[in-house]
Amino acid sequence: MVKSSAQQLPIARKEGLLVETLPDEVLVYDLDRKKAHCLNQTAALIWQHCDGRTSVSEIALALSDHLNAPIDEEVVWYGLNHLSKTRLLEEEVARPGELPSVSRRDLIRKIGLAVSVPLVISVLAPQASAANSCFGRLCAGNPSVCGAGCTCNGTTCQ
Amino acid sequence: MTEALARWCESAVAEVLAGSWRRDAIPLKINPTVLADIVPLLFGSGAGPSAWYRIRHSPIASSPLGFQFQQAYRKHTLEAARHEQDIKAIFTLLRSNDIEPVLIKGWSIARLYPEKGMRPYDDTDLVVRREQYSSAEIIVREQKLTEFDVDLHRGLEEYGFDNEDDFFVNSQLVKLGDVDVRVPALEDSLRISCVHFLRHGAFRPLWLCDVALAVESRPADFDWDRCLGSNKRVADWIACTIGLAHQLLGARVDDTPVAHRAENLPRWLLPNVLKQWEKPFARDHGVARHRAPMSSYLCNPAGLVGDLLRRWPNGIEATVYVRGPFNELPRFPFQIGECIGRTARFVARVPKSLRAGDHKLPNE
Repeated sequence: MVKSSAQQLPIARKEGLLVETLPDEVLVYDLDRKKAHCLNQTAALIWQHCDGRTSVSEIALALSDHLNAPIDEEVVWYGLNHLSKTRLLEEEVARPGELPSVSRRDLIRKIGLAVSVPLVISVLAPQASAANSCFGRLCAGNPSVCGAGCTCNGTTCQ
Repeated sequence: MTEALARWCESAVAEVLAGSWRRDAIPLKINPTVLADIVPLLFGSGAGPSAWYRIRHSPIASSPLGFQFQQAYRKHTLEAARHEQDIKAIFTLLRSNDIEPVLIKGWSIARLYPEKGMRPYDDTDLVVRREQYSSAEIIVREQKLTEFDVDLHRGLEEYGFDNEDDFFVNSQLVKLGDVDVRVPALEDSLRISCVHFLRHGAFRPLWLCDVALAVESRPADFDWDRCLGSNKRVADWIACTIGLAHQLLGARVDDTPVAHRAENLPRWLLPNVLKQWEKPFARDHGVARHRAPMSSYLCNPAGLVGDLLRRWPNGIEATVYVRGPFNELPRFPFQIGECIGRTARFVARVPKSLRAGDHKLPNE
């Protein structure tokens, strides 16, 4: 059951996860779902503060302190939403109704470049067979350089 | 792939991997087009994380191409963590049954790299004393603790050890979290890396990085006599492998007793290795390249010739198989010798299998 926003003290999931902390990010492997995730620094900080005792506004304050930049609750909710979708929280969290949902683009516009938008991405390594050798080749607007199955995005083949 | 393009790709792979095992690895300056062209070779041979280690401070890192390498690095970092769980579990289990294994290859080498995910490996290779092998085999087969395969080895003949007891006595304990993991002495580990690389026909560039890393990170009291062993031929194989690491990947060997040999390799050796690096994928080597077991051709010989050609060994694996020297002579006689040896082994095992009523005939 989803609790009201005032009650929400998010709790990070601990069981069934393998966590590797790297200098700029945190990698998480979900042993139950066999899925790997990468949390950028902001998402990782939010996750680390999800101890079941800290409210969203307190997490925002803690992040501001840590990152030395003002962090809005909006940013924390955005991160919690990502963490929740990837099953890295014990319970689902719901953003307060009074807060309109924001896109990543809106958030970047709002917080500027001082802080990264919290992101949780899936770690899917390319297989050799799937790795397209055209990928990243410089094409300078000429799609013929990329060959079949690839397009030129203006600079590089994709 | 044309001959010229193949040569160019092989040298590009060597360029990417050169020095990648060092903590102070120089950031790679490579044309993104060149890197993009060797992506399948790097990913397919497990060298993606090493490539990321070298490009992560370069402009390529933030490109879509760089992202692919970063994802490979992340994937293998997590995979390494999962392997470590396995290693702890299997050591604890075997020890609870009074079996003390030694972990060779895999983690025992990966732990020496600057970062966890840089040296991917597929399984856990454990050597146990011969008298404990049968019990260990049952335990390993019946356990459900490990996610990846546990490959149990009985003895070390394949690596040319004179004295197995000595191998166990000189092994050392290394901390992995709260578990002590037994690994070979560094001298034995380098020996295993070299012979393993050659026995598999030198097809995987990352295995040569292992050799380079082991040589460069050796302690001051590294016992070269122990590493090279008493058999002069095996010692020369090891010296030549270190020479390959020097010539292809820039390993620093000038302060080693094999420095002279490292500069003077047999002329056929280096081109032979580069030829293997055109296809550094497991599926193109060893039994993976066989289309069907040889025994199946006894009943139905269609396709036999093609499969015999696929079994034709490269000069390196053939020389090691027949325990031949790394001299300047052509490799053809060794390749023929290897085929004869394998055929003889196959033929010798057929009647035994038939007598035993074994429907699964031997493969060779």
